[in-house]
Amino acid sequence: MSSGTHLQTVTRAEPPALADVRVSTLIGDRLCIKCGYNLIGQPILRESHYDMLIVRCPECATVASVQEYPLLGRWANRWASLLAAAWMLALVVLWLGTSAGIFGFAVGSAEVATETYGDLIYQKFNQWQLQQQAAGGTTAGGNTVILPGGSRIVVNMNTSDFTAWWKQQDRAALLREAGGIFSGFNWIVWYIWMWMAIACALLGVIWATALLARGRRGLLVWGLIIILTAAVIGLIPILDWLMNTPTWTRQAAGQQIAPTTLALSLLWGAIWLTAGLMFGRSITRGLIRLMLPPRMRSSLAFLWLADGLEPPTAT
Amino acid sequence: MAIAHVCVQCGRDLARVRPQREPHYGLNLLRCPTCGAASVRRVHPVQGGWRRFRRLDFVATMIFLRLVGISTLTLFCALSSIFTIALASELRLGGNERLPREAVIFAVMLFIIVPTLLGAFLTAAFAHIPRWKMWLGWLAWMGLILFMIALHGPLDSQFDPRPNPNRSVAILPWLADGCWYIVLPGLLATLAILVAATPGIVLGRLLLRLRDMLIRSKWRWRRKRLRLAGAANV
Repeated sequence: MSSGTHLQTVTRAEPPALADVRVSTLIGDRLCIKCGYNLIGQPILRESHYDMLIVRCPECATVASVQEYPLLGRWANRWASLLAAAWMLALVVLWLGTSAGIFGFAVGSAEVATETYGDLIYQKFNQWQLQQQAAGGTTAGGNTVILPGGSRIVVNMNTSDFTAWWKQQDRAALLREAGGIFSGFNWIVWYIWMWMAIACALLGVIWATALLARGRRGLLVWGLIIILTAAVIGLIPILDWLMNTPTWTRQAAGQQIAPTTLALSLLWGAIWLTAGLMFGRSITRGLIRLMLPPRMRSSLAFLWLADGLEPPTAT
Repeated sequence: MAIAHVCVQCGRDLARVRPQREPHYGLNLLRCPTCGAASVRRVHPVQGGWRRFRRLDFVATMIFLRLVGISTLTLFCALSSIFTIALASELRLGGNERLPREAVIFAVMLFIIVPTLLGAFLTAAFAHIPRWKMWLGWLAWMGLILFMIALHGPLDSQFDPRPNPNRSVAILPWLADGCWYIVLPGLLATLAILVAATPGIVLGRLLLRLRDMLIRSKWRWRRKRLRLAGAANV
């Protein structure tokens, strides 16, 4: 039979039959080839003209035949592998970026939290310097400067003097005098923590949306991995604070306060990251409902199907 | 040519059989040369995937455009609010002094152009949300933005006489002052902008009607082009 015969056969088609036989209902996620509308839930019809199984798009009336596809060529798999690799790379970059971001916030708040205690140490050391100078001691390669308010400070001080002085101090008593380990938790730290909470929750939402195949438990595990990575990066400054002898006030304050503050900051970040991971998909769906009219949401049906929810309808 | 297309009835590979677009449904139909069974040369999943990607891209573009619209109007709305506060402060402190003409022109522009655009945008882009919800939502959103502005320090000594924040400042009274000097007057200004935005609703509705008309025309043109069964009735 030649192709011309086929054409003759099909051009003599009858007008559309009004009563197509309903066979079953489409239960898979299948988009209309013309308008992209999700055909899930539409009836599968046995049309009378060719006796084929079809599904009709309720949006644009395009007929989709329900048949299997031919086999794929090699390039489809190659492109799919390439895309998967690119996606994987993007996720790895996002993972490291998330961990580095959380670490950045944590180390920033730890630095700020040491300022109050660092100032106290500075004052104590300054007093000691002035006493040494007054006693004609050997100290302090620095010069005394009288400030407009009448207070005196010593500038250009020798860091080896500080190290020697610091070793003689009762550090626990100094910390108690400053107000304890949380003395540095002023509003600037809370301000950093506010942005940290926003950033972590946002990153959690992004991760929850990116890892669609993961359930809540899987997302929790992933959040733990992110925080652990941030903690591993955080070991660098912690080791620097703890292993080296402090040469100046900030380092001395950091040695006592910063590791605890950094750990607390990581915990704070973990809480908000977890919140973002747990509610991320709901937030994304809410934003989509807010941003898009119902007929446009069907292309993003995977966000609903990932959590076993009914996909969005056109009404 | 298809890679493989096996007849569902007799199993013959139909890859070399050229399909014809049949007039009944507009499908690429072919008949098996052996058994005569009709089947459709389906769009390959890769092509279908590309179409899905195009559709997703369109949706993402729509979201992006809405985000751009929200960001731009948030910026202009916040600027208008802050400008209104500054203007009110000038009027309060200046007494009978005349305002510079530029300030008046600027204020008129802000209270005509920005509200009209805002009204049109909220009506056209968020037609699927009840209007009162959208407008209340916008007021709440602007409240949040104004709070963030207030959080970032004194803006001007004239209408925001708070001290520069440092470590020793009591932050809660400082924030309360920020709400008093920035957020509350800013919200009142936003409310005024929303009232002034009501003519924008008409423009938004016109835009929606224009969009529907364009979609309908495009659809009719496509139907005619594909010579679908119902084209004659259009």
